[in-house]
Amino acid sequence: MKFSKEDMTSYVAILVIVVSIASIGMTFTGYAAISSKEAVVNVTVETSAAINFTVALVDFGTGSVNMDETGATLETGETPLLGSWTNEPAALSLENIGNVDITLKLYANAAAAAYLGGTDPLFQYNVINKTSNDNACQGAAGAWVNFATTPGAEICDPLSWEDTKDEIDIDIKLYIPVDAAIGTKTATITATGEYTE
Amino acid sequence: MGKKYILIFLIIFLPLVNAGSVGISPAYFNEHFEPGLKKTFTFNTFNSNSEEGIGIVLEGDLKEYANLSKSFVQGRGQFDVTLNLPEKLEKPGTHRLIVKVFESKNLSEEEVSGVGGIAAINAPIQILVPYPGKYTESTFQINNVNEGEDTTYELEIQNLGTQEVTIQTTINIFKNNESGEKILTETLEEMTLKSKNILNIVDAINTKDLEPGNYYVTATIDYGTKVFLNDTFKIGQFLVDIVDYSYQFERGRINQFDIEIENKWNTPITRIFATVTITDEGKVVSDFKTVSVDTDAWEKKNITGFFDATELESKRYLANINLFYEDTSSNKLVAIYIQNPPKKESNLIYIIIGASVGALIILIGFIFLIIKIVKLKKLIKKRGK
Repeated sequence: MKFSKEDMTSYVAILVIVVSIASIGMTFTGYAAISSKEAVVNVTVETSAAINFTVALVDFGTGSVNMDETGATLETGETPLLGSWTNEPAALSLENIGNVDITLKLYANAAAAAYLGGTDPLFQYNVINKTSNDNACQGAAGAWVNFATTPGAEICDPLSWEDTKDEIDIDIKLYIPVDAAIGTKTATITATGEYTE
Repeated sequence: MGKKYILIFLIIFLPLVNAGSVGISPAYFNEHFEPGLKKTFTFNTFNSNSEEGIGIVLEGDLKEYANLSKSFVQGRGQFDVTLNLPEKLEKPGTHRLIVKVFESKNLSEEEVSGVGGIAAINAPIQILVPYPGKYTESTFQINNVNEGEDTTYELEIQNLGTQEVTIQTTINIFKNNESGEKILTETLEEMTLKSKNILNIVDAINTKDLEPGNYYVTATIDYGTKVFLNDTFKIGQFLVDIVDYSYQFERGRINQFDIEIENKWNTPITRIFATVTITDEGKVVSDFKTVSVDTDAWEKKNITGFFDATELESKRYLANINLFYEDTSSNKLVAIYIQNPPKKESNLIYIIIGASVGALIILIGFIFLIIKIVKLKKLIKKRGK
């Protein structure tokens, strides 16, 4: 029996294909032979304390005390009284974005006299739970309180981290006496959170 | 008086308008004091805005023994606090090293305008110096359950003294409050707790046979010194109670009828509504259905319906309030009162008084005029003679 060159080439090609398929099969078999093993995934979630001023600025704009009045009252979310200011800015808003309850303290870089000047000025805050965040802040005053400078005053103990009750509004009220100094008035309010059990 | 201007220029710049946040993880460390302890604590800090910086400072009574690896991080990053404690801290109790992170906004004087909020977080590293001798601190907490269930409690005792303690714990349950009847006592096995160790017990108490209601619990921890802890818990029953209701209404209008309900079950009860039937001497004169509400465990809530009193007389009626919830119902028969609307103040009386006074003044004037005329006539006659 004689094989032509073409026949030889065909047989070799078939042999290569068979060997290849066999080796693939062996490889597959090899994988299949590995038994399933249990995997363990370890993860540790660290405590994280974090807060976010979602509204970080109160801007009452520019204005003056009305003629013959002793002073004007500006309050977030309210129409200014006895002054020509026209802005009705929203309250500062703060959210606990960590995964632990925190105590929250608030202080300003200046109290009313240093901030506004004049006769009997007022620089006050009122902490309330944000809408649909009932019981977010235990101890929320719900009343106007004068700003203090450092170390400040505790306003929530605790401020919850649970998503449905972790947001508060900090309303700001200013009473600008007619003899307050003219110019730009700047105040920085620092809210400091600390983990609490 | 000239017009005085008090100008408040509040220039809004982006850095202050943007929400500002800061965070730190872990939120705290607790460590027991060891003489000469040298330890490094690693923190991660973050700001939601990667463009913003975070300032880091140390505060607290252990500040002098600590160092920071960096005092500023851009956006987010890691830093170390290395603590080198002395051989001795005189005062027993908790000493604190505060790691403070805060939004660091590099703004010029002109840019920082208005009333702006800055976020800051304190992460305390608390070092506990053991109290000399035997000293523990404990917490106790017990949970609400439903009738037929066992309650569970958690008791944690920390040995914060220098000496080992042997602890005997007794738990007492009283009906209603501390002066109520003692109904159950459980004595726990005596345990030994080494210095700096914490004992945490989570266990159940057999309350299956107790009635629904309020209970007061004391845990007495005796380690030579007695410590008294207390808590309360409730055993719930599947009931929605009518706590309060509207009972005064106005004739001739549609009135709001509020019913305050209380879920007495330690689980939410949903789809609660009421039907109210108003009767007068047994005859139904009106009825209505309230909205449906869901309640959480132990929650009090108002449900509201509207009661048409346009055709009803002012008098006392009976209202049968039927509450429906999860295939169950309960009811309450109550008295309600329909009253006449408040009378509007009439001006008629003032008109009559005014008219009378006016008429009197005119009459007096008329008489005065007649007298004058008569006197004048007499004078003319005299002069004529």
